[in-house]
Amino acid sequence: MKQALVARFAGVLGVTGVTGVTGVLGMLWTASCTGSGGSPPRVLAEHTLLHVEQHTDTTGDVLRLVPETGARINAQLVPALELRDTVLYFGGDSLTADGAYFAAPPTLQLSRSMSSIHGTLRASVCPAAQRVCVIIELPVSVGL
Amino acid sequence: MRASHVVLVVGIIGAAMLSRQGDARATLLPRDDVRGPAPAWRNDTWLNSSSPITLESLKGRVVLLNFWTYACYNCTNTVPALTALDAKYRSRGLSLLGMHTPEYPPHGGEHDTTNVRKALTRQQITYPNAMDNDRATWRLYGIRYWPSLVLIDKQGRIRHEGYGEVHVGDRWYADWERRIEQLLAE
Repeated sequence: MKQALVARFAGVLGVTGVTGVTGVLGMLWTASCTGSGGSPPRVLAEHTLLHVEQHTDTTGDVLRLVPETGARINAQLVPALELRDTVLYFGGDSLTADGAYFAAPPTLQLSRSMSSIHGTLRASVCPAAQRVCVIIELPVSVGL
Repeated sequence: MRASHVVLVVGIIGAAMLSRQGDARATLLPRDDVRGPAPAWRNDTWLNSSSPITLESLKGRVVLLNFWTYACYNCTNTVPALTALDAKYRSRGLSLLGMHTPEYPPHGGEHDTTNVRKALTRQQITYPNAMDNDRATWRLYGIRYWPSLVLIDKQGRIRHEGYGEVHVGDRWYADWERRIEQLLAE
């Protein structure tokens, strides 16, 4: 979590304009989530373009994909957690006006019947400034 | 907080910023005047073409390869620019070829020829497109980003490589037009 906050802080310091505003909003968003009564989110995996958080509250465990400053998560290829024998998909209702990207971090509600999860997160992420998309694959282990 | 801690935090932040800037510079700039021979692709499945198209068969024409997938918004935003280049330069010796390269494994749907065919119709793409489902041609050309463009001259040499969304009338479009016209004139 400390590393994630440092990375986010670095993002805010390192950019200006729209991306800077996005970074500040991201920090505020994180602050609002951690203040909702559940335990603080745990960062499960990190990449320069996004990180994976685990939130636990009364409804159970939720994974949340948080893009780093200037990155956008492709909504046309829904982020997926590939397990050994199945694929779990992230979702989110809030999309950008063109329907291309998630406007808020997509989430994945984990089943209470699961004791632990080991898989690969796959997400298509598009750094806005570079006008490209890249594929991100991250090993993710979730203890429930 | 002790002074050593402050120095450490500032160092970490500085390193992160430099690392990000370094990545962008190293990987995203277009490469001009590349002179290496273009590797021959071996894609079997082609859409908008009655038979597989080989690099050898295109000798004497300028070739523009577009690595894309219909599920990438930057890629589909680039299609109008590509169709405009195709319309303007095909008769003058340009062969525009799409290399449809999935981002996801098959569960994402991009490997399905039916889905790609629908995307071609939706986007009014009439130039040939190869299915690069195993990413063989993607790897052969060392591509890392969607969308990417590779320009090959009449002798079969790679001359320009570039990445990112292009729109009719923007400066990247003007750059590609200039490069294409230069190679057509050689």
